[in-house]
Amino acid sequence: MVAFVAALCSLIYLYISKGGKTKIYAELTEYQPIDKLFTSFAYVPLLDLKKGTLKRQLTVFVDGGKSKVVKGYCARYYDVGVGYNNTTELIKKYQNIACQEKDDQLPEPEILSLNATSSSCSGDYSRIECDSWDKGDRKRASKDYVLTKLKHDKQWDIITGNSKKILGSFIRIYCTEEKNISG
Amino acid sequence: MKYKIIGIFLLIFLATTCSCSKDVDVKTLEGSIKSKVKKDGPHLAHLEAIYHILFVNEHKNLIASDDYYIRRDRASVYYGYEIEKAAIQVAQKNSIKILQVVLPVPKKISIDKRVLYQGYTHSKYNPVDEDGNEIDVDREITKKLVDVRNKYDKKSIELTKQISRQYFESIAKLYNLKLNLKFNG
Repeated sequence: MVAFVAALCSLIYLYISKGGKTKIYAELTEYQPIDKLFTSFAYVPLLDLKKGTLKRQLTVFVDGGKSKVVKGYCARYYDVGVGYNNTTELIKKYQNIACQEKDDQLPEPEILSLNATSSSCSGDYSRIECDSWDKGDRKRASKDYVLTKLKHDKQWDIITGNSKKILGSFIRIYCTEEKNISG
Repeated sequence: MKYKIIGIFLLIFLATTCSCSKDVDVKTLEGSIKSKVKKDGPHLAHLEAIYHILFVNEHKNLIASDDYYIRRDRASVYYGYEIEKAAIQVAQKNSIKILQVVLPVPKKISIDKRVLYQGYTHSKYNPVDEDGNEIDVDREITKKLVDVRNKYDKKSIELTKQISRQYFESIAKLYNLKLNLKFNG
């Protein structure tokens, strides 16, 4: 009888605890003018691991638990936009350099946009911790991670070179000789 | 006795190997994820549309307190033009210098999204859907953002055109040029 009641309770518990309810609301709050030049776009995944020893790991007795294993991960997949803020100021500031075609002396671009389109976590890494990579001040952490990753994968030099050329061509519009038009 | 000892060792061995197999397998994930530069060309962005997204997930528990995960995001959607499809040049007609600009129809360029707030009952809770499967919160928020963005796309595009006119007017003024701006479409 006791076993039956316990089994029934377990079934009820499993039934109740199985599903969750989700609601998502979204609204446009404001518009504002901006002045940005996007020079490059990239896809950068973030992978952060949680390491530790397993409870039943035999090596604990041998090396005092120095052998760490992966106990959880957080993976976030970012669409990244790279470029320059405030082109009007850049045109004024770098016109001479651009007109002399010294593009290598132009400034490095920066990460202008970062959008996690998908994410997953497992093991000891909870959803709350995984999402916090993009939270408030920690957003800087995900930006730093993305920049480091682009540099590590040797993409940043390519992006920087292309970005400087694009900025140079964009500024040179205003220093080329004017073309005469008829009509 | 001999068999008992062998049995105990066997159990320890199985327990260790089983726990290893349950270990998070990230080797494949590590190997498959690599950053890459996309082939999209440069864009000029003139409008930022700001959206707020609220994600609420709840899960009833029989004994423990019910689980909640609430996340509020702010997403900036940038609108502008593909530079390759735009024509911008300085020309001269008689004695007047003209800034000639022909722009394509503006479009969404990029999105910047950040988490503003996280609220939860238990820090280890992972939100689940009605069938008990874990939810990819970022994917769900991205889908919702696309839906809402589509509603405002027409207005956003019209506004981008207005702001672009102001932008090129200020550039023309800077170089003492007369602006001639047209939109294709």
